[in-house]
Amino acid sequence: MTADATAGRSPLVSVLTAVHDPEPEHLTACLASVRAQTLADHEHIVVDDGSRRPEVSEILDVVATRPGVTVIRRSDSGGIVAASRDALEAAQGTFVALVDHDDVIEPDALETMVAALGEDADVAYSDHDLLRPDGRRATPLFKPDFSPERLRAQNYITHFLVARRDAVERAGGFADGYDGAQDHDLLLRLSERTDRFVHVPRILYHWRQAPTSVSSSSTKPWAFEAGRRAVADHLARLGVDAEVRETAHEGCYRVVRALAAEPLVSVIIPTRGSAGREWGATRVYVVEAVRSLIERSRYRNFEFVVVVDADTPPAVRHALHDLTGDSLRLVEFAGPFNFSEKMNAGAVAASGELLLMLNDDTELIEPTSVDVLVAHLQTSDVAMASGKLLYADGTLQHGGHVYNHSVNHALLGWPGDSPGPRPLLPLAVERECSGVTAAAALVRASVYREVGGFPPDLPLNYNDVDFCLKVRAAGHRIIWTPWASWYHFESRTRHSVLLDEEYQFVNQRWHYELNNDPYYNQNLLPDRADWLERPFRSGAPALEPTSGLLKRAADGVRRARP
Amino acid sequence: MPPDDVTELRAEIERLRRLVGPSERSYADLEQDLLAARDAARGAEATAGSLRGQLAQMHVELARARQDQDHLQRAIAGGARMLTGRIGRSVRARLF
Repeated sequence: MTADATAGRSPLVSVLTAVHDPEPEHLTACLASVRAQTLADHEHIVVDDGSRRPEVSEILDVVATRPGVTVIRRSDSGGIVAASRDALEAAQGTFVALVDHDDVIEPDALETMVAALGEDADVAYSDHDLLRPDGRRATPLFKPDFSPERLRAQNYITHFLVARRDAVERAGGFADGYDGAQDHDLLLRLSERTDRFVHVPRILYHWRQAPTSVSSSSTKPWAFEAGRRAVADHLARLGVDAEVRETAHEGCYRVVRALAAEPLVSVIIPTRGSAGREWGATRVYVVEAVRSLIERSRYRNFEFVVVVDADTPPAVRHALHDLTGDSLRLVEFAGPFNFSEKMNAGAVAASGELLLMLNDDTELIEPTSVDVLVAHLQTSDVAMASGKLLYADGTLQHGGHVYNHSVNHALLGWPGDSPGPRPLLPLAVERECSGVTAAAALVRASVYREVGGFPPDLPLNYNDVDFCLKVRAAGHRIIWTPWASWYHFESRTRHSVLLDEEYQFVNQRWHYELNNDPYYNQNLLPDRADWLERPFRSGAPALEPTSGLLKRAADGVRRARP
Repeated sequence: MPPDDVTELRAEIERLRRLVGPSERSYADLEQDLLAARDAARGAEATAGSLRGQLAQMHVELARARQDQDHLQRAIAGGARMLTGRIGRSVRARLF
């Protein structure tokens, strides 16, 4: 128990604000919002980083006389990192809170965050939105709970951050060389030392979109480059051999991990050798699924474990033999269709360290897909990874599961190349998921055995949901990545034949998990997986025109015309 | 090879030639046509998919706009009722 708690007081919070020539009225609003906090025990450390505007100096002269406010003046502008470091050095609080010089926090922001931190957590962050120049609030960011993989791909936390001061100091505080991405760097450093992050799903912070604010500018390559470097340095500190690349989406990074080894991957495919028409031609699904891996995949160390029904045509068996040679293991399966039992039979016959669960109606798209998935499973607590699955028409079939009072594929039917809804862009980044589809997913064989495989009670649906939730309950992470991709020729109407008793089974076993997806947000509408906010929490339109969507639609119509 | 077999094989070649047409190059043309047809089918499906995907996105935008509009209308209606109630109470208090 802390000394403050022993004394019956709430712990002191030091609010740190680096100031550099903000609009005077914005600075005033920021200072007023900190002063109006319901939490009495706070101090505000304001560091003026060589502002030249006389109005700013006058405002700081006034606030410097107030109790609980410390104004530190730097003669020259040293940048936000130097100013933030000065503020941290002057802080006395158990906790530090980071507030930018033109932003505004809710009156109960500090009180709420301190309560959320309690005795156990080291870092707390809240949802936030943007403050438009006209004073209206827009573009709420309803964030997932702590998602370390996502944090490497994008700084989804940004504001509002409150952390234990000693944790921040142990993490090295604000490091040189990351101006513009200093908060991302700090979060990554904190994540290396603690996973005790807590997320408050309330908008407690209003991030101002103003010409002088980094958040408003679309031309800030220096900040994104600093972010890229922060992620690269973070991975180097963790001993991860990886390259970090900027992507087409600002502020989103791609971590390309090097493969330390290429262990045997057992590809488990349940099939009955059926054929169908795709893209105007007939195909035997399982043969084309295997052929695409053999002909396109850069990763080569495969064993193909094909679990065949008794009525699988001999020609299909021969074709599989011709394609795979010695690397084929045919496992005969008798009895009525049961996906779970077929997968379990395949897993028993597999000898690989890793199992690639693959539906027979798939086709590999990206040649390095298996490399990407294997590279994720090099991290000890990552047990399972899956990629992007597309329908034959290129629309999204799978972008990770969302368990939001029902089981859904994220953004089903969206364009396959879409980054997903702004501002979080969930389809543009690698991220933790509560679950992924078993139609194309890599899992550690030892974890498969540890959790007992798939449940025979779920022969058709939700068997992957149950499996994933068992994997997570065992303490492992599951990753979804946009950098691995397959076509999945699944019927788009398949959801209409879901059996109610199967949902009841999985709902009884996992009721809490199906209603509290940590990687979604309770401010988003239930029973959906498209990041649509609950009524009236959507805010006003973003400053950037959203007409891009309409423009793309018009372009699409134009292209479709003969 | 017995003469009958040779005759049969020649007849089969003739039959196949008739199927192919005047030039054996038709084989290659046919294959090209098949590949082009496959690419066209795939392209058409991708174009349709692109439009479907944009529709899916727009449905979300529309749902967002509708629910905000509905919420706003309820808020305005509620506010108007409160305002008229307050005015009514004030007038009644002054009159009676």
